[in-house]
Amino acid sequence: MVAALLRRALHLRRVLPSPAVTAAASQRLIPAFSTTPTPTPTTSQQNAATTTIDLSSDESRRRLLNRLVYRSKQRGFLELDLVLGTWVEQHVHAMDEANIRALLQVLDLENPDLWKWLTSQEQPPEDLNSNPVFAAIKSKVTDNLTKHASPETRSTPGQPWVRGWDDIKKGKDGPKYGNQ
Amino acid sequence: MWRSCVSRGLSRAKASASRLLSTASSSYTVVDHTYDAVVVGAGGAGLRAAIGLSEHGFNTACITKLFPTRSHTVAAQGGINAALGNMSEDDWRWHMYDTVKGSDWLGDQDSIQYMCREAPKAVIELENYGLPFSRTEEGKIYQRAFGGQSLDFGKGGQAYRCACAADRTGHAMLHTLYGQAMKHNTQFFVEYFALDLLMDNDGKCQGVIALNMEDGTLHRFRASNTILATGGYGRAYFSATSAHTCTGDGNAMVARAGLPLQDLEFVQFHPTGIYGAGCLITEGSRGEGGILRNSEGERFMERYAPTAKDLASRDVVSRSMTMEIREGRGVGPLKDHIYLHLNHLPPEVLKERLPGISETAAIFAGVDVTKEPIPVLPTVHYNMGGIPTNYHGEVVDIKGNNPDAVIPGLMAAGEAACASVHGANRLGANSLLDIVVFGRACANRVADISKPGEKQKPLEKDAGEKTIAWLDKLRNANGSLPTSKIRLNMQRVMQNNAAVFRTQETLEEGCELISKTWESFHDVKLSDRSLIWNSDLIETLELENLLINACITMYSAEARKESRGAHAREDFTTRDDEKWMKHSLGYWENEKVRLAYRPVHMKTLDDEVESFPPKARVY
Repeated sequence: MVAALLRRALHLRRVLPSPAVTAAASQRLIPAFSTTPTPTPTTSQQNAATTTIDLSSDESRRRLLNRLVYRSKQRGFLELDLVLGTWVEQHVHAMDEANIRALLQVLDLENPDLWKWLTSQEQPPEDLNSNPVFAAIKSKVTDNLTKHASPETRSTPGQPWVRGWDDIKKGKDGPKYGNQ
Repeated sequence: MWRSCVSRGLSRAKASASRLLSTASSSYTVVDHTYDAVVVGAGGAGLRAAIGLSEHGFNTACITKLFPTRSHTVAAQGGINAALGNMSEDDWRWHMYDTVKGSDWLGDQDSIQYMCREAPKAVIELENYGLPFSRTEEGKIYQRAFGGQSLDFGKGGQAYRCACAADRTGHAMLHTLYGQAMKHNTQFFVEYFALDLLMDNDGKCQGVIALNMEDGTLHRFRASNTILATGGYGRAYFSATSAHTCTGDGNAMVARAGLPLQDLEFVQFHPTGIYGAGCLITEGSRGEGGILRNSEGERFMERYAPTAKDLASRDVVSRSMTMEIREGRGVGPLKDHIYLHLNHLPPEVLKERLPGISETAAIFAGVDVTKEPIPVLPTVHYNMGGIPTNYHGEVVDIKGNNPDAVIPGLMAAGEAACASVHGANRLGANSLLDIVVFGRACANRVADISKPGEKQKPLEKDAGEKTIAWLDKLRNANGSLPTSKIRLNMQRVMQNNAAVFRTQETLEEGCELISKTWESFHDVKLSDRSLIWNSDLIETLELENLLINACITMYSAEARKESRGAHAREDFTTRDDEKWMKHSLGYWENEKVRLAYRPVHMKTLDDEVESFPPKARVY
C-alpha cells in the first residue's frame, strides 16, 4: 500500500527544469525555453513487492541480510553506495521485520531522487517522511551537516548542489582551467 | 596457480534438467540454457544491445549482477554528444575532429567516424524510445557546451552538441532503455555473477558460465553471440568516482580466455576527489579562489604553474598533487593526500556560487570548510582502455599477420570495450554516446552475421569445469589475508604508482609491487563458505578481476615510453608518433602480463570524410 502510494507520487513528480544557460549560449537561444515535459514513468525495482522476508532460521536470516547489504552498497551511484551502504551495514542486524520492509521501500527509490531527498535538495514525498528507515538515514545526514557544515555556507533547501564535473562553466565567462 | 594447476579430472553425474559436478568437497548444480544471444551487463550499453537484438528477433538473455537501473550509468550527469545542429550549425565531421584530437590521435578513425556519424541517429532513436531530453522553446532537443567541443575543425568557436535530460541523463537513459527491453521480452537474469567465457577448442566463444547469487546454482548460457557490457574498472584505484560495482569483470573474463586487453594505461582523473570517499569537489572551487596546500602549508601550485597556479589545467594540477605526495609532502597520517583550503572564501561565495560544497565536505570528509581544509587527491573517472573491438563491436586479436582478426561469437560495448574511440583521452560527454552507438552496433552486427533460432554446436564436454573447480578452491580458501586487505594494498599501489605521475622509477616499482600483490592473492582467506548470498565470495571474485586489470594497466604504462593523452610521463614528455602510434595489448598468461601492439586505424571508412593527420595536442 505505502509502496504503491510512493510509486504514484514518483510518477507524478516532474523532473527539474534545464540548467540555466551561460551568457554566451543565451545569445543564440530564444529568450526562454520550455521546462521539460513529463518524463516516461520510471520503472520500479519492486523489492518491497517481491522479496520474501524469512527470519525463521539463522541461515534464512543470513541470506536476507546479506542480500539487503549487497543491494544497499551497490546502488551504482557512489554517494548512495557510501551513505546508504554504510548505514545499512551498521544497522541491518538489529532490524525487525517492520524495519526491513521499510528498508525495502527505500531500496525501491530512484537514485537521483533519493540522494536529493536525503540531502534536502528536494522535498521528499509526504509518505516517505514517515518511513522509519528513510527518516533515520536522513537524520544521520542532517546530524553530519549540523555538526560539520557552518550554517552561513550551506545552500538553501531546495537548491541543487553543484556537480563534480561542471564543464558547462568552461567558456568565455568561466574560469580558465580544465584540459578538455 | 589457482587456475593453471587445477586438474581436469573431475567426476560427473548426469541428471535430466541439470548436472551435478562433484569436486573434492562438495557438489555443484549446473543448469544449461540456450539463447540466440547473451548480453553480460545491464547498464546502458548492455540494455541498448539487448533491445537491438530483440528488435531483430533474437532470443536474448541478459545476465547482470545488479538490477539494471543500478548500473553505474545511472550516475552519468553530463549528457550525450551529437551534432544535431539545434543550437547553431553543426556537422558530425567536426565532432569527429574534436574526438580524434581529444584522443591524442590514438583513437581508431574508422570507429570514431562511425560513432560521430551515427550519433544523431542514435539520439533520435532514444528520443523515440521516450527519453525525456531537455527542450528549447521550439521543442527541439536542447544542447549545451562541453569542454573540447568546437565548430569547423577547431576554427569556428564553441560547439553546443551535448544533449541531456536535466541533470540525470544517465538515469533517464537507463530507465528508458530498461522499459524498452521489457517491452521486447529480453530475459533478464538478475543478481547472477558472470564468471567466465565458454570458449570452444577452435577459439570461438560459445557463451558464459555464471553463478546465481540467490540460490548458489551455476548456469551455462550457450549462445551464438556473447556481448560483454560490464563497464570500467575504476575500483582498482584507491580513489575513484565509480560505484563499487565497477570491478572490470568482463575485462578479466576476456583476459582469462587468453585474449588481450587494449590501452589499459590510459586512465582519466579528476584532480579533487574527497580522500577515502571518491566523491568529487568541483574545479569551480579553485575557480572561486580555493587553494591547494601541502603538509608544509605551502601553496605548491605556485611552483608548478607560476601564472595559472591553482587554475592550471586538470592534468597539471593532478600531477603536481601527486608529485607532492610522492616527495613526502602529502598530508594526513600516511601523507597520501592534499588539502584544499576554502576557509578564506566568503561564506556567501560558498553558499551562492558553490552550493553543496560545504555539505559534501561535511558528509564525506567530516570537515567544516570554514575551519578546516578538505582532504583531496586525484580520482579516477574513466577507463579509456578495455576489450579491443572493431567498429562493429566484434572482439579482435592478432592472428598471424592480421592485427584485426575477429574472435567468433564474442563482442563488447561501452566502457568495458575499447573500440577505440576515446584513444588516449576521452572527450567529455562522449561516454554515453559510446554506450548507445556501440551497444546498437553490436546488435546490428549480430543481425548481419547470425539468424534467430540458428542451430548451435554443443558445448565442449568439459565446458566450465575449470571455472567450477577454481570457484570451489576459492570458496574454501584458508590463507592468512582477508580480501579487503589485499584489495586495499592493490588500490594503494595503483594510486601511488600508476595514477597521474608516471616515471620509469614509479612504474618499475609499480610493476614489482602489483605483481607481489597478485602473488599475495594466493594467500587469500574467506570466512564465509556458503554459495548463497556470500558477499565475501563475490568480493573475492571481483578482487581477482580487479587485480588482472591492475597488473595489465601497470605493465602497459611502464612499457609506453612517451606521453600521450592521459598517460603523461615526466621522463618522456612528448608524444612519439614514430614509435608509439599503436595500441597496447596486454595478455594475462600464466599469471603474468605479456605485451604486444597493434596499429592504430588511421583510415576512415569511406570518402565522406578524410582522416585527420596527427598534430600536437594543445588547448
